Amino acid sequence: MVGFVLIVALVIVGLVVFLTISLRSVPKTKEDVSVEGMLESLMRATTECEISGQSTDFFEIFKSCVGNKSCSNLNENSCSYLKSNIPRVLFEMIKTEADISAYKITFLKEENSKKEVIFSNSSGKCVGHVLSGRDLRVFRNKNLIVELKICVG
Amino acid sequence: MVRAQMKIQQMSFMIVALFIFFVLVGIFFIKLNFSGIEDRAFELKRAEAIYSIKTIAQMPELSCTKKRNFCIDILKAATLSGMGDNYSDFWPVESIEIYRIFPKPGMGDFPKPNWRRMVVFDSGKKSLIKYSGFVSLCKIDYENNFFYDRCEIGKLVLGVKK
Repeated sequence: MVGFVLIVALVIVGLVVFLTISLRSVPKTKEDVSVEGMLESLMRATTECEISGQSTDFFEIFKSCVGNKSCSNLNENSCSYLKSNIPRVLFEMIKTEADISAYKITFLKEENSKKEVIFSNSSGKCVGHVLSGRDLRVFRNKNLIVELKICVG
Repeated sequence: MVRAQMKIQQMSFMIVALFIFFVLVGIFFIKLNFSGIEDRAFELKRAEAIYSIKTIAQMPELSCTKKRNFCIDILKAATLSGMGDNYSDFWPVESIEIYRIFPKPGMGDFPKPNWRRMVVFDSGKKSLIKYSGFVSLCKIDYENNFFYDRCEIGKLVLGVKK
């Protein structure tokens, strides 16, 4: 009788371990060169926003956002321009890739090892592998970081 | 009699339970091994695509003047697209196409108004494997007494033999 109970307990333990490992589907994030390329082409895209009379790309607008500047020709704050246009452009990019199920982009400011999220945007439900890329530049003793994560299934 | 029946029942339960246990262990190991193979196949496929795109985008005939990854000089691409088969032995791939993603096509576009797709090279071969990746499409522009890189977002699509 004791043997029978022992075997049943063993099977239950085996079943629990199996189900735990099978159901644990937390996707691992991996840095990927193609995502870096995607992020680089996004951040380098020239926009209609002019800062000090000069056409600028999204990274320059991010710098202006941190430095509290505005788009002089549009009469719009650079942070609000970034927030309204980044999701729109990313949507245009992602709709050309059938295997991207979701994305998350985060704009961070790092100063004295303290990170502050300036703006973050995400869309979709993550299925499959998570790939990430980042763009880091130094601006007035601060690290300006843009991180992009995409789910590829 | 009843005691003997109980023993047989216990034994059969034990055999069934042991069988289920070993089946579960087996499935667990098979799943573990196959998930590794799937991951490796995915990584190899991506690495091949990235390598092809990086190689083409870094060729001096197409790359931006400033050394940058995933950056194509649209002036060079437009020039090469008009060269037909002259470069057919030069390219390590069967086809090179550029798609424009952002901004939306307009009248002031270069090299021609409202362009969406540019064929840089096409060998004419069918049934190719296509690899694609995002790139910057840049050209040097002049505005308010300054020269600067005007960049758009594009997609480089390469066709390679199966």
